[in-house]
Amino acid sequence: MSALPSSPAPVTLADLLARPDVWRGDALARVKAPGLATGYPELDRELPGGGWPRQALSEFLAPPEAGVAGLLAPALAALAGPLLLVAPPWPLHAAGWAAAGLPGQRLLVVEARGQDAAWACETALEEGGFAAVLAWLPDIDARGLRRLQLAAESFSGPACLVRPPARLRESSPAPLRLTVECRPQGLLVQIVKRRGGGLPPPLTLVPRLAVARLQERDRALARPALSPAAPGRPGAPARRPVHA
Amino acid sequence: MAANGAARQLGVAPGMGLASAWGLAPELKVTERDGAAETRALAGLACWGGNFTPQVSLDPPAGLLLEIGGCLRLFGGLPALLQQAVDGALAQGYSLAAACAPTPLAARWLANGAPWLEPAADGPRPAATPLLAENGGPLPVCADPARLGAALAPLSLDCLELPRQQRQRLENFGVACLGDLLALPRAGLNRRLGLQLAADLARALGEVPDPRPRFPFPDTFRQGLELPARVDDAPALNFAARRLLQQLQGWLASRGAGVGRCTLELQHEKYAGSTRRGLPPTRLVLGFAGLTRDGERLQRVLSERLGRLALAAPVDALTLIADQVEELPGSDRQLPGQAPPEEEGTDPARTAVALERIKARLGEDKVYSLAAVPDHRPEQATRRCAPNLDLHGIMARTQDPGHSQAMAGQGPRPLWLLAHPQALGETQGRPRHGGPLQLLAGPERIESGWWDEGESADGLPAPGDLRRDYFVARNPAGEWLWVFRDESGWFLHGRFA
Repeated sequence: MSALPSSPAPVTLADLLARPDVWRGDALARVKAPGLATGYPELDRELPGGGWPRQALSEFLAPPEAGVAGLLAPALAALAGPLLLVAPPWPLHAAGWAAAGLPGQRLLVVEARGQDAAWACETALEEGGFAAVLAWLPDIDARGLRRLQLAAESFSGPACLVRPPARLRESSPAPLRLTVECRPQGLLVQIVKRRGGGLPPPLTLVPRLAVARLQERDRALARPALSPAAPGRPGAPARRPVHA
Repeated sequence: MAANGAARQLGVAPGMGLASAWGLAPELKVTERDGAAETRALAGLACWGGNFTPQVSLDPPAGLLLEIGGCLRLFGGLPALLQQAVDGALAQGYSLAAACAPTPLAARWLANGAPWLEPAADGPRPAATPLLAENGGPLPVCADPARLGAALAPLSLDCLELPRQQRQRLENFGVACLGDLLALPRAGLNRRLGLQLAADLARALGEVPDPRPRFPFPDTFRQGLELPARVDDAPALNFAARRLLQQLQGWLASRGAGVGRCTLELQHEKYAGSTRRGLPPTRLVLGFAGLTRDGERLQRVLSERLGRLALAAPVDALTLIADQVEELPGSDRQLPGQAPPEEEGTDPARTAVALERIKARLGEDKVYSLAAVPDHRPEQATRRCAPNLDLHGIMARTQDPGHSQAMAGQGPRPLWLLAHPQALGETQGRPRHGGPLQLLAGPERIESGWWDEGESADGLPAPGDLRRDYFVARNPAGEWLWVFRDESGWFLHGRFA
């Protein structure tokens, strides 16, 4: 190693390692913007920046049923400002979101499909003005993803994208990719791509939902599953809800 | 007759007979002069002038005076303001001659002597070409009243728009330019040429005041624009419509107002379509998330709408009408030395712009916010509402107290509520969804709505009279579900994550 001629003091290895342009292979990458704490300390430890990345696209490879919204809710509730939900898989129930810390006034929903949904997402990231953008884009292609990632780089908050798990094989410009699966023990989260390399073992997280505590309580009480009786109003043979 | 720049290059001169003009330029396109249209165009341009100053005066037949002495600082100095004004007027599609002087008459005379500027065929003028006369550009500027006489001196007598007879007499005196005229004693001029000329000179030099009536900005905005050629392609209308939007912007600025909604009418070519009467105009309603007079914002919403539009017939004229105009105070600028405001959360103005663009392209009803309604029936407990961006307090992390009160005593509620309850199979009396469900909490009896049997609100089918027992359930895959049972069996109604 050739020492710099202008620095007479001997350079120690520790000094060198402390330089901002030196990156050690076993450490997570440094990121410009600190991440948004996920609400799960064990997950924060594995993410560069210590949380959901800002100014970058995060890709969740999960079926809609896996409950990415529930996984993200604690982090999103900690933000101030409106959240944009693009093409959510089902209608939202305001009371449930309010209980998760996100009153309905903070939620902005865009109903769109296919190209329109991707365009709306890109527009929102470009224009800014949202605390976070969460989009369900099952059919977005590689070009669309690239555009979204570029738009997300100028966006101040987290940009989260939910895609079907089958897209895991396809390459993606998103710097963070995770698979999320529903398991009886909780959510199985596996980071499949992150800045800084080295993939951690999958994590099992118990979602921070009010209902998740019910099961803990049930386990503690060792209560048998309920077997309710139907509400009594005899004589309605049709196999459908009353209003449908 | 009058001639534009291209015709003048071919040798056609104003005042020439039509036959000799055609002799010089056989491809000449002759249009009859339409005085009413000129007046309308000048009024439109005066509206646009409101972008720069509220003191706009008309100088008929074809002059527009902007009093800019009071707004130099706002636009970053005289050269920057002149640059913006000239570029803006050229973008309005007019060829023009411009000048800047301390008195209106001197400005007009200087402009008469200035070379004509033509609107560029594509886009704005290249920024590299100098504009001001002192840099070798075409725009004469005299900002100093003391030097006004010197600035006017080289002008030819043509610039004064004198009657023919007076002009002739001056030439007989040996007066070739305005400088010669100014050198003559005024008393003699008064005697020989009448009082008018000497009075004009005094007004031009600022010796006597020259008040001009202000342009009365119209109370409602409705400006039309005839397109030079038929347009078949909606995005191509963008360029023409931008002129109208800039006029709207100036009109709004002059009133201190913002627009919440405006309509662009596209008049179709006559005799288009199968009927003789032609098609009715296509109306594009442009809605904005909040009041605005930001031209950029107006333009973006318009281009999203035009980008999606398929024209039924070629368009030959546009009309822009401001529908909803309300007072919009200007935003305060920072005082020097004052710290910029803390970057807290998100900027509602940017949110509004993003939502406007999305709405303009996808439709007004495709973007909505949510409101919790104190109704026990889950289907009725959420209502879609227009995004509320003005109340930033609500956007901040606050829980609506009334809302949490209404929810008190309720069981857990899911994030997602299926549009239609999904019937579930049963094994040994227990519901199935990807395996038998484990019921974790419940029953929560919801029995309500006897009053609106079968009625519909908000276009959604009303659930009517409900009588259900709700349970929180978990299936073997680990999904958290909200299921209910009524007299017809088990249903899946919501998902918790």
